[in-house]
Amino acid sequence: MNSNAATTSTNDNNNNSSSNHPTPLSPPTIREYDHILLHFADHRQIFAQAVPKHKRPGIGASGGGGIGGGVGGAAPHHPCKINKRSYATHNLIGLPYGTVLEVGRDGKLVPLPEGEDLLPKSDIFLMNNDDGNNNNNNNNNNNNNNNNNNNNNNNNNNNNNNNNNNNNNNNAEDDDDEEEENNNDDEGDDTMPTSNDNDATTTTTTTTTTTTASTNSITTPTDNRNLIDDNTSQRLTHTCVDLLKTSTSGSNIVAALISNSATFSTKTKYSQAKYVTRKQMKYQIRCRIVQVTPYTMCAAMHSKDARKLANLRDDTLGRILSNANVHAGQFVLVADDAVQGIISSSCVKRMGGYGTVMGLYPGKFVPGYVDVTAGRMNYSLRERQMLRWISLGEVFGNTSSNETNYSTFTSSTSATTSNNIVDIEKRDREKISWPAPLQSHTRQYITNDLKTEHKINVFLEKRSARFTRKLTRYSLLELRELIGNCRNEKEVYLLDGKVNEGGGGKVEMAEEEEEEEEEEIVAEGSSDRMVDDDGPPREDDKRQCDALIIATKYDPTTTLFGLLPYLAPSCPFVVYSEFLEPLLRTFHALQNYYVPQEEGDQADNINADDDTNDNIIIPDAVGTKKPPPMMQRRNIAINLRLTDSWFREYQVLEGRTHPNMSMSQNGGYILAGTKLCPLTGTNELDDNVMKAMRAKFGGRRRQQSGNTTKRGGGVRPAKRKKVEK
Amino acid sequence: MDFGRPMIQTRGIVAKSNIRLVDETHLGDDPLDIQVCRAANEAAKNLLLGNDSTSSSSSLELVDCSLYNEQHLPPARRLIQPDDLVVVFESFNDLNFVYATPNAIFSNRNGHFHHNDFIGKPYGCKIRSKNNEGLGFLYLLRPTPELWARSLPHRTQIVHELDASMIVHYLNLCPDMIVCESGTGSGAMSHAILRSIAPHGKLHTYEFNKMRVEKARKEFEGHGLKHLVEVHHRDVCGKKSLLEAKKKRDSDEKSEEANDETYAASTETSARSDDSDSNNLDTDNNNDNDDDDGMGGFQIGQGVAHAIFLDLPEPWLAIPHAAHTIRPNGNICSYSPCMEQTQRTCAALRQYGFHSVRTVEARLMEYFVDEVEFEAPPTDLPVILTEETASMEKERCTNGGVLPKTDEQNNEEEEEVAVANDHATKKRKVSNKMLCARPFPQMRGHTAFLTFATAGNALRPDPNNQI
Repeated sequence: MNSNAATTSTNDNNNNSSSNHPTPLSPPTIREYDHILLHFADHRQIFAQAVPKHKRPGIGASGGGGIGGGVGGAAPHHPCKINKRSYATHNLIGLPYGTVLEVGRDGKLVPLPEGEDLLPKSDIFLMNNDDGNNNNNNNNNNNNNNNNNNNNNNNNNNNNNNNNNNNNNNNAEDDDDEEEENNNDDEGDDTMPTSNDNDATTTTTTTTTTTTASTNSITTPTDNRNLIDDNTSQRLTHTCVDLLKTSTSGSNIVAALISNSATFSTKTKYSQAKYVTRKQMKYQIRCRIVQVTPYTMCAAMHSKDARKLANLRDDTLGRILSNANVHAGQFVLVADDAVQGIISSSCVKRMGGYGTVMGLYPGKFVPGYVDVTAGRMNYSLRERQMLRWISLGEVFGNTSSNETNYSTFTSSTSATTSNNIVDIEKRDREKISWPAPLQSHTRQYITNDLKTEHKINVFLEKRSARFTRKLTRYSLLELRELIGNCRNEKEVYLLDGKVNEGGGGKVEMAEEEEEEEEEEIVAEGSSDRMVDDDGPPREDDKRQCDALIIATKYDPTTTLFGLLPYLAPSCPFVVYSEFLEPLLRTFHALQNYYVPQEEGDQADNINADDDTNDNIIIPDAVGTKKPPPMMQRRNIAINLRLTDSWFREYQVLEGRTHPNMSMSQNGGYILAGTKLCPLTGTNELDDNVMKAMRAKFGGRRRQQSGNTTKRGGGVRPAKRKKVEK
Repeated sequence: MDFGRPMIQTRGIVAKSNIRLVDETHLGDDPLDIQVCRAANEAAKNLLLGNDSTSSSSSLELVDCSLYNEQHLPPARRLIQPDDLVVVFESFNDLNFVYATPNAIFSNRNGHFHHNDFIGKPYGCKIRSKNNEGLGFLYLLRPTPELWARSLPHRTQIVHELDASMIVHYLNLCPDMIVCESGTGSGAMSHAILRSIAPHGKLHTYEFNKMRVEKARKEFEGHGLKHLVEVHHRDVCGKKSLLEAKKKRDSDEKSEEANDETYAASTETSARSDDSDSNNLDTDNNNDNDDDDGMGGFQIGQGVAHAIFLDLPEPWLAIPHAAHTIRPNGNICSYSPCMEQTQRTCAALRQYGFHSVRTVEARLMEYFVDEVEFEAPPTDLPVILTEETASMEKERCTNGGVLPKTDEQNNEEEEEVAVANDHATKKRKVSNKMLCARPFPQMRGHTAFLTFATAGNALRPDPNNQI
């Protein structure tokens, strides 16, 4: 994530100046305690953290820490671990993102100068191809000589190879960057066929020269016809390589391996390139510092353990955010326990500190993944502030015992909490006055028990950090009120004809109330209500959420129906699942939602044997029961789309363009839709009336029983014309 | 659209917390109290500046919780008002849009719908037609970039939803960024970008077709997004100036003059191309202030764009300019339907210092949900010709095709009636139904190859000065 964007959002002055863009933006740099990603040439992606040498007391927690559940946590013991070896990261602080690091043998990450790529520039293999076969013969001779020397002295051997093999490749290291660049320009027709990884090529060939190169490459004189794969082509033994590892640099090892490979010179140009790449990836390990963004983070977590992330591929995450219309300033409700909280963390970044994200977690305590996932995003304070974690129990909990209290609590304004519930957390918080003077017993403790100045300092800093956390953390009751305010209590979506354990009576009441309100709204709408609507928001504004995203390991149908009352009408919802089948049920339940019809209303018209009633089957979760006759179908959502995506990456190199050999088979399934207005989105006309009308106008084909694939509303296309003013 | 509206500020918990920098003697002169204040200041810095707390002392003025108000959009308008953009959802495949205008009528195959009926209704409601006794209906939805992309008038091929979501995600577009887009086309992608960079970002979008520029400007203004976007009438590839330069170079070579002073030649070229452009454009469009001067490039300065999106027929021509305009470590995306374009683009990207070049392609697969009943295979046997059946057949023929009913069959029929009436059996029958996903028979087979890359950290010179 762009740290600059984050900082500008905290600084309005900066912001204004940046919109005039007078000066080039400096590259974003790594700050203390920033989490970073290291991308390797072999597609490994490793998380790390830039931890300074001298840790600041108290920052571990408060640096990432806390509003509504601790985000961050203490600095890790191993800020960076590569190949089971830990590396210090304090030297990375201040480096610009995008810098390439060389993983040194001495436990250090060495930053390389700008222009270096993940694979070292190396023209070892270009030499072999300069004059085709002639050069190859030379190399063979060299190799034979080297073989004789091999057992005597590895280092010497190595140097010989370099001298013999490479006319101007002194060490293939950073020293002679310029020279190599020139080289490439001179020999522009030799494309650098480094690897099947797109990142790898650093060619500076122009488009005109590459076309000639491709024609050359087709007529490469060498091929594999004489290749004998008997595992004896490499003359350097395992122990030799180990010795080299301790004594010399990675580039020398690669050179030695190449010169001691009997088959290298007989390989085609492309397979030589592949060979070099493989050896470089093993012995000259490099990585690039990459910002932790929703995309890179999801990709890294997915590549490490896709199951842990419920198979959520990075492009699917992007699609979820787009489909849910997530943008700055919104109220977003996210239940994403199945995907380690990555969706809510990504929403925060997408919204950049404007608005509120309510992350729903299962259980009594904020789960650990929250710290890990959200902590890695390098939030600014604004961003941390907008993410609030609320228990799913606030939505689904059986609040029957204290429901009355609850409702009075929510309906009353925030200041007057209900008599029954005293918000101790809030009360304590309001007692704290900022610089937090010492209380007498603390003062006593410090003077009596803490001996050294250092200990006192550490104690005080930790204490202050604790107070900042306390002061900026919402109490559980405040969070309950926050989510309670999102709910439209008149809306109840029930499955199986029951709300929790409440029974049908309650539902009918709810329905009746809705109908009443409908009239109200229509009346209001026709009068001057809409003028008021532009005015300032009213005090009692209960704000429903603007987007709802669900990716839980719980039943998606129940979860969605429970959370729909929190979503404002005409707002999108997205349900993600690793599996297709649960979403089928959700889809079906949304499409075939039935409510009891108002009593006495055309009950006689509905005949149990009428074929329209075949349609009235409450969906699968609901089972398979035939509904009571007085049920009316209702559209609660529209624009339902059940999708998954197919995602393929390509190797694009001149003459060697093809899809990558392996690709992801599936990135998870998404059910997206738009909630309709619960009052007027209903199908208010009775099915029989509709039928009669259809018969009269002949407008529509008869509904086929059991056909559930019909989407949306409206009559099938016949002719389109649009008259628009 | 919603995201274009100004934010509301509220005093959140942080702003109320009173955390700020305090004077070291705030609590008194006791050394311990001074230490307490110092620790409090340190903690305040850590909290309010986070990882930036080690940065320069100029940011110390930011250590005041009252600066950290919570910002959010006002609640979305529930009711449709005059001049609002409303997405008209006719059916799954037919979306349309209207600007709610009093006394206007929207007509489609389902009937006539009066805008007066729309105004004052909540978004997400259902409207019945005025004619046909209300048989036809449609839904009115609040516009989102996705719905807009499906309903907008196509001026060009648009970037579809899936690609748009990936581009926004991979370019890591966030609020308050500066983004460049070329070309504007129908504006579908522009809306998706604008959504991500609101409320204080800026989208510079470039289009070389004059008519599309004007239509896009009008659209953005109508959607309340004018403050977020600047529509430039310009060809970022600068093909005109490239052609001019080439022509000039050729003529120069022919006459074999001015070879020594290349710089003078190049400035002369650009000057001349300007002249010729203004001449050309005078004939094309009249009284226009922001003429395409024929020079390529984004012309907003060096290293300022956080991200660049290219949807051009020849993106490689724009990449030198993009390398100049993009900020260090910024992301770029090129959208090309053809592999040949992609190849040349990748080569150009690498040439101009971009790294992490990645070409991907994605397709959307959709599913119907069917409730299917799978019955057990039928157990009926074919009738084998025996003496008995033969005689029955004979009888049937003489009877005029009607088979006389046996007692058994009569009984069975009665049973069938009984079964049909039995609710329980029906239930059992129903219970064989299961929900099945049926993939759409057709899908969009190809839209484009998306090439993503990240700019290097070195700033690049303006290629316009090097022609």
